[in-house]
Amino acid sequence: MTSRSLIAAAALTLLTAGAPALAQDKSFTDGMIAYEQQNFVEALNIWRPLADAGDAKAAYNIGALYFEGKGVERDPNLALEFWRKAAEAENVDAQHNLALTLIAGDADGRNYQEALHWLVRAAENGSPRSMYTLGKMYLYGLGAPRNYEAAYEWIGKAGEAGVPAALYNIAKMTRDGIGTEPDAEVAFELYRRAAEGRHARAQAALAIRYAEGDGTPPSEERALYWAYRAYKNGVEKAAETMDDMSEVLGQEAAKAIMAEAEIAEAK
Amino acid sequence: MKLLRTAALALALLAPFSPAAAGPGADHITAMSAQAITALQASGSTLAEREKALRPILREGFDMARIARFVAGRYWKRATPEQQKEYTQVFSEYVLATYARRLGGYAGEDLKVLAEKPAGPKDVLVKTQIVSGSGGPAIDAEWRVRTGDAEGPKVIDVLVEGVSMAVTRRQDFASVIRRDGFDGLINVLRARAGRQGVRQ
Repeated sequence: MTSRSLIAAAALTLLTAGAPALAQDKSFTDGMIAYEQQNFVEALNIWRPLADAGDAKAAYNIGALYFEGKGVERDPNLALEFWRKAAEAENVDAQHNLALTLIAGDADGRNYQEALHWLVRAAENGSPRSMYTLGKMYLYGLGAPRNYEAAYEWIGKAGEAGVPAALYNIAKMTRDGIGTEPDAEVAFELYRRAAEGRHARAQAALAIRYAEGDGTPPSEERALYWAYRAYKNGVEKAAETMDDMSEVLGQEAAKAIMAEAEIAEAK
Repeated sequence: MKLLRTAALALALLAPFSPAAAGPGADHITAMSAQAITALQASGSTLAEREKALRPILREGFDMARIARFVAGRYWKRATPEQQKEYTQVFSEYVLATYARRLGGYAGEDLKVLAEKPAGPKDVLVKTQIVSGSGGPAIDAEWRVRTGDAEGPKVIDVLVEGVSMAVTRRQDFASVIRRDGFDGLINVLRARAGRQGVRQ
């Protein structure tokens, strides 16, 4: 820690000392420390009074302990109760988990309408994962009538917020003209960003785009590069593109490109 | 019973092993268990990070693609190639996310590898017993390991107290597909995989 940040930390401590929130924050942190040491019962005992006093983060974490059966008998219904309480207090993690549990229907039943309600709140509170799921709900028409424009909007926002799977999906929608006008160049750019974010199927799709010159000038080198990365990430079919491109480029050139891809993937 | 099975699977992977049986399947289970313990005991990282480190062990040790296909049952062939791809990926995510996180909750149980016997031309069944450190009842778990493939041994099913996880899951998935279609199943699995654990 530099001396400047030490001073900043000291100033922060002075500023917040005596504020009633501090005691609670500290206790929440104590619970976190117990959790990290796998003392789940102790974590639960620390967080429970905080949750009762209205600490939404503590309530969310208790829900997670019940859901995963850590320190307690696993109880998805009780988990849902704690998440609902935290969600009412605008805890975005709780809103997200509550919505997903209502979609999965593995606690006390499926409820798409209520799931949608919480996803909207979580998305408006800035949760990228919730934005993505919300977009999927509109795409499939779950909890609300199918709405491709709304699906495009929310999946796009999730992609902008850095969810690679959302970028991949919005790329496919842009390619096919779902919820927007079809546009091969824009789709290519979205595939590229998802691929950079290590989304395996986006990497495979990007390789094919380079191979066929779809939305981009063709490039055997880039096609091989991305096919190799996709293959490394488990897309077996990408091996076909790799073989085709290696044949065109020659073994020596192909080897160098795969080495480059290997390094990028290892980073 | 469902809870017990989940707990048993989680325990089985974590428990320190007492090797008593030999064979490629038994060795595979013993090695996975040892790796899981090492990953969870790593110092200098958060529990969430340690749980995440379990995922490659599970991914390598299980044949996720084969399990996914089996569990989809007769609906696999009716799905489009795009659905099959998405389902396989989401299924794997769901299994990895769920078990890695739940495994973080277990420690101190003893996994005894008791015996290995052939099960069909390609598989062996590894019989294990999970003995609770706190004196609870011992749980029998059997691991169906495919040993005939080139990539080395892979777990393809776990039977807890004689009940197959794959068959149980297949029934669960079939009822979801009948109600909501194959996309509905993908959606349910994505929801199950997307939940988060304890947060700072």
